[in-house]
Amino acid sequence: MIADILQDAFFAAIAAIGFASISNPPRNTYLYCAIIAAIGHSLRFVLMQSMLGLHIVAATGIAAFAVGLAAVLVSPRARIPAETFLFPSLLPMIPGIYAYKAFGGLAMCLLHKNETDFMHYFYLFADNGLTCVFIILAMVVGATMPIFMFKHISFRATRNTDDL
Amino acid sequence: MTTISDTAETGRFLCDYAACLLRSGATCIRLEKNVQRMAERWHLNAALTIMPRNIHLSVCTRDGGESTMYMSPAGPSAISYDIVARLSRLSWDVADGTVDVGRARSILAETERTPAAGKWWVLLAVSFANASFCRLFGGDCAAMAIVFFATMAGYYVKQTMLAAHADVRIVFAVCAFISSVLGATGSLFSIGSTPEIAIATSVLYLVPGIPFLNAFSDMLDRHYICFFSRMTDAVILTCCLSLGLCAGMSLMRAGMF
Amino acid sequence: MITPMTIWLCVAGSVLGLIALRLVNIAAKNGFFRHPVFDTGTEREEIWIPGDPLPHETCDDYDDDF
Repeated sequence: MIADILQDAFFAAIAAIGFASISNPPRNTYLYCAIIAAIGHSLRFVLMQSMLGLHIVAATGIAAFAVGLAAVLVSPRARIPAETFLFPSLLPMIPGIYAYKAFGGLAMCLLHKNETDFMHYFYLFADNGLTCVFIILAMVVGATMPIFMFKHISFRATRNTDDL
Repeated sequence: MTTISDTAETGRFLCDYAACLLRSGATCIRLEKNVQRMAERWHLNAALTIMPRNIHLSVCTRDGGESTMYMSPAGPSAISYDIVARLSRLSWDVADGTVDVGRARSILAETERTPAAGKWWVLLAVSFANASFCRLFGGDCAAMAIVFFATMAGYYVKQTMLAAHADVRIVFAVCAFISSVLGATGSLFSIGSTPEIAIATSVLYLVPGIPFLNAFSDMLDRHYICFFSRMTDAVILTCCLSLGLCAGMSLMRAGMF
Repeated sequence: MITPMTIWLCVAGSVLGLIALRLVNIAAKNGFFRHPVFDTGTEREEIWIPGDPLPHETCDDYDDDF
């Protein structure tokens, strides 16, 4: 079990670094992205295991809250705005497979042969699409909550306090 | 006290600054906070209208002078959090009075020229990231290797096509097609025990995660127009990606469901 | 006949082709091919025998000043 969690955290960290690199973050944020994403993704993994068995939306929301909290606490230290490494660290949790399965279902709706097939594919479209939308919503709500809870930290992160 | 010519210069600067932030993928709340912070320092009232492709900024002096409208096109979006971080720092430097308008403008111009991360580094990092994603979804080592090469080929084509100024929607469809066909290597040559995971995860690097997150973040701040425009962008890109993936999967005789 | 195998080969082939093309382009830009691999010289360079008049002594190679 511990090995599974560590493995999940390790691969999530690599995924976060890679996907973060697409959005050109400042160089010193890669490490923070990796650590925060590892915490978030492994937390979601634990929450979704059979013992707790949370739904993916709830688990993602809680994990995103932890990610947001970590990002807000780290941002003044790194002197970069929280979202610069908050959003890249959330990327491994983006429900990509649900997103394109929803559109795949929609495409299959067009190519249906009878009503039963249509209903099946429409169900797949709606199911995957809704899950995808709600996962992203839970992610953003969970992750931005700490930013607003600690407003004075998160929006002052880039202030150069040495010059004052 | 702020004179009229000063107001014109600062207004122009604030508008260009906001456009640069929008282009670099900052959320609307970040734009508003940073611009207000600087406007306050210069004793100006600034009202920002963030449109999908333009920034409108209305500026007037605190003593009830005439208000002037400025407009800057946002230009093609190129997400760069490096630029967002630098510009946020600039806004605090202005607010703390260590930087004046002229200096701020030159810093803005300098920041806009910030080079993107190295092409080869991004290519390699994305390929490793997608391979580890495959692992997270339960793929075995063979599937990881296949996803690595499928991603590398797809992302290389993406970089090449974007450098040639191809339409981004076409790029997404083509890259998804290439990655899904190459991702099907496992099922074609019977390599490994999880070939279907390789196909499913081979295109995940194309999912526009940041636009999705930015869109919902704008929604929470009640910037509904920006929410809709960013969301529509992201959905259209996902649609193109699914189109390429469906074409690839049907030609390789692999089912999505 | 369109089989998955032909599609796969086409896609893999064109990606490899693109990479090769780009590599050649990069190499050409960096001056790797400054001296062409295959090259034909002028008539004089190819069949010049010591003792023949030097280039500056005659103005045209082909003696076609009509």
